[in-house]
Amino acid sequence: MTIKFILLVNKQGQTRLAKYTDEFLSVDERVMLEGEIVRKCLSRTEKQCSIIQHRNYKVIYRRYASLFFLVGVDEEENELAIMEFIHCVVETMDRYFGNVCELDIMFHIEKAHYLLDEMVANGTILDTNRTNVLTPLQMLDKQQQSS
Amino acid sequence: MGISLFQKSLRDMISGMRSNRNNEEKYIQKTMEDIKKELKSTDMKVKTVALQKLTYLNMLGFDMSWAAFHVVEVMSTPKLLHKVVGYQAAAQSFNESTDVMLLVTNLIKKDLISTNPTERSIGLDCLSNIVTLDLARDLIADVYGLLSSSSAPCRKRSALVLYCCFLKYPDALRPCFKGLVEHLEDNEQSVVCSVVSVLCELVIRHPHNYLEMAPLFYRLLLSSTNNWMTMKLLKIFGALTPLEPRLTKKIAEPLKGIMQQTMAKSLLFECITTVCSGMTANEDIVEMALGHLKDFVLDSDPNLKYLGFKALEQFVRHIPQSVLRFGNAALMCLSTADPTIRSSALRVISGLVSKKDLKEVVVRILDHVPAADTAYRNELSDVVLKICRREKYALVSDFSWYLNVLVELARVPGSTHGKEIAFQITDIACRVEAMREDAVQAVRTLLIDPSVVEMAGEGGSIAEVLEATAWITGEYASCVEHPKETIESLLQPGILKLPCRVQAMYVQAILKVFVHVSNDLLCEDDDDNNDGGGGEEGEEDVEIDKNAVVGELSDLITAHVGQYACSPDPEVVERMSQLKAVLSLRTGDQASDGPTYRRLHSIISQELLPMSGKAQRKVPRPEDLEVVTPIMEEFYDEDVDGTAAEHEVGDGEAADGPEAERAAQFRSADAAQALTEATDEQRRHAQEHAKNQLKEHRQRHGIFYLAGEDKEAEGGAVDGDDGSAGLPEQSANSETGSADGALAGQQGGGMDSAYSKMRKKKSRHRKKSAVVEVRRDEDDGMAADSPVKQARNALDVNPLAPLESGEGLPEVEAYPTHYGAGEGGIPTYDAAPTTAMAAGPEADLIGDAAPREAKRGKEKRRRRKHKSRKHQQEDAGAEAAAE
Repeated sequence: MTIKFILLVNKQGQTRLAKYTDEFLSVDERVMLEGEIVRKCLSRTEKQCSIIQHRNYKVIYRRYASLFFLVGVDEEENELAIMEFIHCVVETMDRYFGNVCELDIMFHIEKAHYLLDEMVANGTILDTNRTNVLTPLQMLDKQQQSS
Repeated sequence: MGISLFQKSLRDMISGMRSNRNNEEKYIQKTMEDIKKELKSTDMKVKTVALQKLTYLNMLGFDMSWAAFHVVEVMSTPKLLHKVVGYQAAAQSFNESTDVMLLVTNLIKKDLISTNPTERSIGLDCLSNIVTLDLARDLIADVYGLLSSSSAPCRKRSALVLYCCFLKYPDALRPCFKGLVEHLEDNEQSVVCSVVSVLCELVIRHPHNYLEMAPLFYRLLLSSTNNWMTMKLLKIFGALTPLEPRLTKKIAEPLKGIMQQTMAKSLLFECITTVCSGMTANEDIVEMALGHLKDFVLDSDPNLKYLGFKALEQFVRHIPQSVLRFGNAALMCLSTADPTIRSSALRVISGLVSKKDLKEVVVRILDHVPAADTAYRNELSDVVLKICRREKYALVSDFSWYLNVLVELARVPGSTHGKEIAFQITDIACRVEAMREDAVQAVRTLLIDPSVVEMAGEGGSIAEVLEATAWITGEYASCVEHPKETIESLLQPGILKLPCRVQAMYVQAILKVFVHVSNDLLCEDDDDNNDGGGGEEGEEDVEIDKNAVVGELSDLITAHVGQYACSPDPEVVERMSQLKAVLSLRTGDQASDGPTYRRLHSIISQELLPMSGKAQRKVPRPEDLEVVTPIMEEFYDEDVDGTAAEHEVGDGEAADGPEAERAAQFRSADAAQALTEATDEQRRHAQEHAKNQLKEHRQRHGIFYLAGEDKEAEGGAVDGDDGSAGLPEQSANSETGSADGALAGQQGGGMDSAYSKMRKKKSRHRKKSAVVEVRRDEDDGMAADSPVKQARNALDVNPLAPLESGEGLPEVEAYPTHYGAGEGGIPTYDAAPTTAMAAGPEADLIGDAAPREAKRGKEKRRRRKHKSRKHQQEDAGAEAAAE
């Protein structure tokens, strides 16, 4: 609905996680869009605001160490709420992986996806409660260990 | 996950990619091949890992649509861990055109009725990503069923998924809506929150339909403890209040409460946005919102600052007067490092500026120009130009000051706004008579500054400003205070680097200034003493001085104007020749020079007046105006080449010339009345002449023709039928400088030297621009004469009468654009071609009066009224004939 995509990109501009909701973009379109947005965001300094307008998306990004979290939303969405949401995602990942880093997300991308799916559904923020989000994930992990 | 011994896991692949940075492409290609093999494996584990890797590669931009069937295979495994991978892959890669979509329906249906919460949730999640009309129709009942599940996470997820089903399958909305709304009273706050999210999306799309739900939303707003939900509810009210003003009063109190209590900036910002979108009539709440907005704008955090200005932009649009106090803050922000904030602040400023503080604001904006980078400089210039030009300069009260601002803007290095600046300067000078002196003074600083010319020579749009500068200086020469300095600056050598258009304007300006000054100095005896505007150093002394001053100017111009002869542009060279000719008219004797200059001056000094863009509408449409009848087909061919016309017109039935003509006349019976009056004999003359011209052309440019026929052309008379088609031909000859005895006879005795000089110049020019000449020859020789001659036979033609058949197009060629000096006028101005006025007089004196006169007539007429182009041509044709 309001969140169109979530991107995790490192500071070299390599995509580490990409999740599109709402509308389907072809592979080429995705690559192009990511390239444009990442170029735009990476060229900005810390003193500049971290909200940019690109095509018909508002892109809100936050940087954590080497990783950029970018969220593309529609015109209606509240930018500050998205900033809070990004922080919430990072905290949740931190809780799950324990001091999360870029490699954790790369090597456990399916977990990261699952985690995001618990937090965002259909472009809307579903749950921001860490315990709620992580419970099904931990259940899945248990199954994996037992198998 | 257990992985067969030889298969690389996702982790191995990523590590491999990292260690193969240099030939990553090759590595991926190799991996892709492995994946393809592994996907065909019967071992579900192998398949799943392969799919996992493929999904990762897809994220990096590699196609995986070919693996859709394998995705479904993995989705259908009973093992949850594999299933998750399959669903993830499907969500990422499936779309409406995926052909295995039909297989997915049952899979998801099974998941939705599963007892395992994880299966239900991944099923719902996948559905929300890949939903199509078919899926929505087949599965909406199950999704709706989950809304009454006992598990809260399941309920909230299914509410959200319902919404995307509505989008694909709108018919489902009505039956599901009641059940959805019931969940606004759900025990679980998170379920209420997701239902509110869905309703929020629905309300924003069609607020009218949900107005009556306002009390329900109001109750929720009062009871909400969840900021996410409060924000959604505020969005709902933001959409509803513009439709129902009474709501404003109702929610003002809770809104105030939220704004006072909340610690969350996001919620506060949402409140401000809501106030802005529909509650601007309520002063209390606006005041409060603006108070908070001030904190945003003044905050050091760039994000808050940016959002503050974004909100201000909205407020400016609705209630500019209450935002005035932010003007200063916005101006302060022009120096921040963030271009997005600066642009936003500039938009706020341009919305706030008023007549009273325009000067101050513009000055403060311009203060930032020197330190800015090129893009920002242009942005600043753009804002200033747009603010001032708004509503026909409504905000500008001091034009003299504004002209100086424009000149300053023109000097901004790397400016791309030259065109706009040029337009505005010209516009002001034309419209505001009182400003002309100031305009000339303002542009003088540009004119005399060699660095500006240098800057323009290096490219950039300032050349356009210089063009306007030269035009204003020439057009309002009476305001020029220092003619010598002006003429010197118009003769700067750097000008040769400017575009030809600008050069031509400079030469024309020299002519105008010179003629004006000479007239002022030499002719004042006849008027009252010393009332001329062109005062110069020695003006009030003795008469000999005046003559000497003119002499000095004349010498100055003669000495330097030669530089323009090198221009590749025919117009520049032609204007230079004209200028030289005018200079050579000077005898040094005041008594004889006086009248000459007065005459020249009287032609040049006709004022250019601005004309309404609607002027054309005021010209009544002639009742018999016929514009849809084809005018050319037969007639044109017939005239240029009789034989060709015979074939076309006769259409095989008649081979005889006159008969074909008659047929043609019948066809265009009424419209071509004037033309039917042309006798056959004259027609034949025209044909013959055209042939002669062709021969002449062949003779001159024989190498361009194929061997064979060019021999016969040698004997062809150059001016075979002067009598009937003299005018255009003379024009052609004099322009190209070819030897023609008849011309010499027409010259006035005293102008001999001028003409010969000019001719020399022109013949030099001819060598340089042979290509242009070829075009002129063809234009004049081939097509020019026929319409003119025809129009001759229709002397009594009313200029506003309907267009005659066949008269339109040839004329366009008869007067190619580079002949009419007026074509080079200030481009943005309708009535600009005053420069054409200068082309007339010396041409007149030199002797090839008729065609030039015709041109002049044409231009005059264009100034007088806005007629359709075709009318104009017809008109000029008639005028030429009259001569």
